[in-house]
Amino acid sequence: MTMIKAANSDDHQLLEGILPGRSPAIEAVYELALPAVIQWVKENNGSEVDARDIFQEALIALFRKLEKGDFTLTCTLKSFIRIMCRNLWLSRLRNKNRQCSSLEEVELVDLDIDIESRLEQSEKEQLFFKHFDLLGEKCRKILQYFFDKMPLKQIAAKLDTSENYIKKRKFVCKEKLIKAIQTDPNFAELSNQ
Amino acid sequence: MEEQEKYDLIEQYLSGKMEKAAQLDFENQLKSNSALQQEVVLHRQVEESLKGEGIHDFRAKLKKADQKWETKHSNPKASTPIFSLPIRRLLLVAASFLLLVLAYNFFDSSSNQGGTNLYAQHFTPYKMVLNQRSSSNAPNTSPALTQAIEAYEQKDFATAAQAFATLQQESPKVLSLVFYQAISELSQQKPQTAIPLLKNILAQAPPLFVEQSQWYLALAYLQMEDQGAAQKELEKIVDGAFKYKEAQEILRSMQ
Repeated sequence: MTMIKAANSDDHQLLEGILPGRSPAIEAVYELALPAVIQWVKENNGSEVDARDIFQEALIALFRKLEKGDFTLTCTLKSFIRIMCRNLWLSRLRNKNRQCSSLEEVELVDLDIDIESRLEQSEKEQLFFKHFDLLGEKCRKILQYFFDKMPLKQIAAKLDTSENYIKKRKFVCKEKLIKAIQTDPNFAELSNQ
Repeated sequence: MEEQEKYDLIEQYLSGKMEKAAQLDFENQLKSNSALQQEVVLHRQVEESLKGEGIHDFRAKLKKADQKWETKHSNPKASTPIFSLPIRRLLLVAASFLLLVLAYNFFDSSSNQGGTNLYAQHFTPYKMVLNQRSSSNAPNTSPALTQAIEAYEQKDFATAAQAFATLQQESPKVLSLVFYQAISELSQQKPQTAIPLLKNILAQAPPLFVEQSQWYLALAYLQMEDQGAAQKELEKIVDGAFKYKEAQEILRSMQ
């Protein structure tokens, strides 16, 4: 069971709502932290759409961290999300050789190494999600079960078909996904970063 | 090495279930084959990113929260819809709508649903997925591509079709450009131009847009009132593929 620690009880409650994916908690986090992120990104060469993109990526990284186990929040949730978004956006600007218009004061809160590495992979992860979402429903189901380490026999039973069919279909779906990612114009660039 | 065999080896290697000798052999191959090395990394990253049912549910909820936020903050007018009308006007609107529906059903019930009717009921331009995220800022996005994407998103399909066609001259192998040109042509009621483009995609069977092209090819035939050809294409849409349920629905109404 995940142990969540936060100095502020409201933040604690929100974090406890994010993990099971409760919509009211997610919406409350949007209200709490997104406006400041939008303002900051706009001041630094970005748009509201950019800000909302990286905000989603930051929340996914946070969700993954909460999923993994114990989590201690050493600042407010709003600051924590803002730092994640700031790091994400600065790395995008660096990769795109664009300037940051205002030099931010140095934040005293360091991000967890786990979250840092998640954020580094975030753009690539979004690419994987995009192509996964483009697959047919059956393909998505088979791959989902397969990635979750469900034995092929069990997948076959769940989808009311034969193990042999699942084995073939799993290969076809995975090949489709991998090839789609590899031929995406953004993939080569992201791999070189 | 066969593609399926390669995938099996990569999966065994990543799962740690490979026998010692086979593992050593595979690791030797990895040392001398950088393409294989990159593919192993990609398989691992894809699996790590997509595993866990929770993440997909969470992403869906994030998307909803984002849409809700946009409606509330970016477009305040959207939150004051029809309900702000006085109740009598609202009832009048509802009554008129009901009359229209009844009249339509009365006149329509005697005739079989024509191809163009079916087309109109089921056609929507495919969502834009090319460089969807921060498209205009991506360094590899050419101005011409940005213009094509923007025209498509703004439903200026004549400009979009022209722009995607021009882009293909520079990148003839990029079938996503062909796909979006085809959808732009269809959106302008030009099925005869869209059909060869969609057939071209299906003939090359790329990893992307095959299922989508199959669906839009069927719709293109419907738009041309060629119900026989449309039926053939709809029957090719297999269970679980893009728009399978709608295809079945059309097939039923054609009978």
